[in-house]
Formats: sequence, structure tokens, C-alpha cells
Amino acid sequence: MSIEFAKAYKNFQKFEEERGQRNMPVAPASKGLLSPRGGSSRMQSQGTTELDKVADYVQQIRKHRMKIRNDQ
Amino acid sequence: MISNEPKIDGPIPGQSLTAEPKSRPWRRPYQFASVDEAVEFYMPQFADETFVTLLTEQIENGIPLTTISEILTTANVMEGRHSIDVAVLVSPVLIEAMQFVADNAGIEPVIGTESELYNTIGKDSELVRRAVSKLPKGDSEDLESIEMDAPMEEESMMAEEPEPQMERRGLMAPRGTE
Repeated sequence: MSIEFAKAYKNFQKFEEERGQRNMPVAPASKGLLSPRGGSSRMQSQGTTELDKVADYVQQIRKHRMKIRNDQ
Repeated sequence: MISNEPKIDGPIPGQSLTAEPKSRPWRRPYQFASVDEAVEFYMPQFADETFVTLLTEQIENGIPLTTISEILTTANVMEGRHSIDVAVLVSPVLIEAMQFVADNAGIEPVIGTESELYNTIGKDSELVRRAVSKLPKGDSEDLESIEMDAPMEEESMMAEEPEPQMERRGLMAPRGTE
């Protein structure tokens, strides 16, 4: 059974990578007057899933961990 | 290897329906239905000194974090705290928290995803490689020298063997060629 948990964790790590790439601010292709404004519309249209919540929790713990490691 | 012996202590199909409804914790509504609630339940445990000491011991013994998180969550599924879905969802949070504990204790933890086995699940290559690596050196060289045609020959010999004929004894059975 722990193989399934290990697989789930690996899949979660993949999801995190993809999420990180998705959330990267994309530079607009053109800067003309008629070019679409801002890149936030795509971000707003995505709902928050349970997996996003998990990723947020993991991020918080990781940040705290890094902070303590840097202090040491 | 599959054993032909029957599993005597295994559950009988439909056995779960013989107990009274709601008589088992996992047959009642779960206490925590979402990841948020489950995280709220698990996180205070990481502030408990006894829990952290025991956890550090286990991590130090080289038990993978995935296994520890599985044990933790499965026990709570059995007690009806949350579903197995929530258990799988919350496990990355637990693994990350355990890594934090290991960091504080100055231990390099075994996460459980290091093995190449997890990348090749369902493929025989890893299992074959391991089996061959266990053989003494001389034997593995002999294995390499075997030609690929060898198993085919064996198969063809098996096919040529005549099937044992059952002796028919019924009234309508064809009479022999006596």
C-alpha cells in the first residue's frame, strides 16, 4: 500500500512543478494599444481545488523550513 | 509466486454487510470531510514532544516517510476520522512536516520515492535485474551465454507432448479399437 502513497507523492510533486510553471507571469506577446490587458484573467478563471490547497500547505511548511535552515 | 492454498482468514464476499448499519466507524459519516479539517487535526500532533521524539526515532531507523504517513492516515481512516481519499490528499502535507522534523533533528530522511522500482511499476525489467544481480557471478555469465532460441525449443518440445487421454467408461462412450 505504501507504494500507492509513494506514487501519490510523486504525482503531487509533478503537479507542483506544473502549477509552478502555470503560475509564472507570462509576458504579453505584443504591447500595442489593442493587445489584451494583463495576464491575470487566466489565473482568476481557475478555481481552487483540494490539490491546490494541499500545495499551499506544503509551500507554507517548506518556506518555514527554509527560513529555519537559513537562520541556522 | 501464487499459492494455491485458500485464504481461510480472509473476508467472505458480502461480509461487510453482515454488521449492523453504522456499527463500524468507517460506515458512519467521516469526522473530517475536507483537507483543511484533516490538516487542522494532524498539525497539532507535530507540536507534541512525545510524538516528535517517537517520529524522529522512526525516521532515524530509516523507515520511509511515505510508510509513516500511510500508517498515520490509515489508522485514522479505520477510526472514521476521514476517508481514504482525504488520507492520500493530506499525505504530502504530512511528509513535508516530517521532513521539517527530520531537518530539525539533523537527520537525512528516507522519503520512499527514491527507489527506481516506483518508476517501473508493472514492468518486469527491475525485478529481473534484481534477480540477476543476486546470482553469483559465474551463473550470470552462463545466463548471458544462453542463446535466445533456447526457450523457444523448450516450448516446442512441450507442444509436441501428447495430451494424456482419459479413459471413457460411460455406456455411450465409443468402444475402443480392440
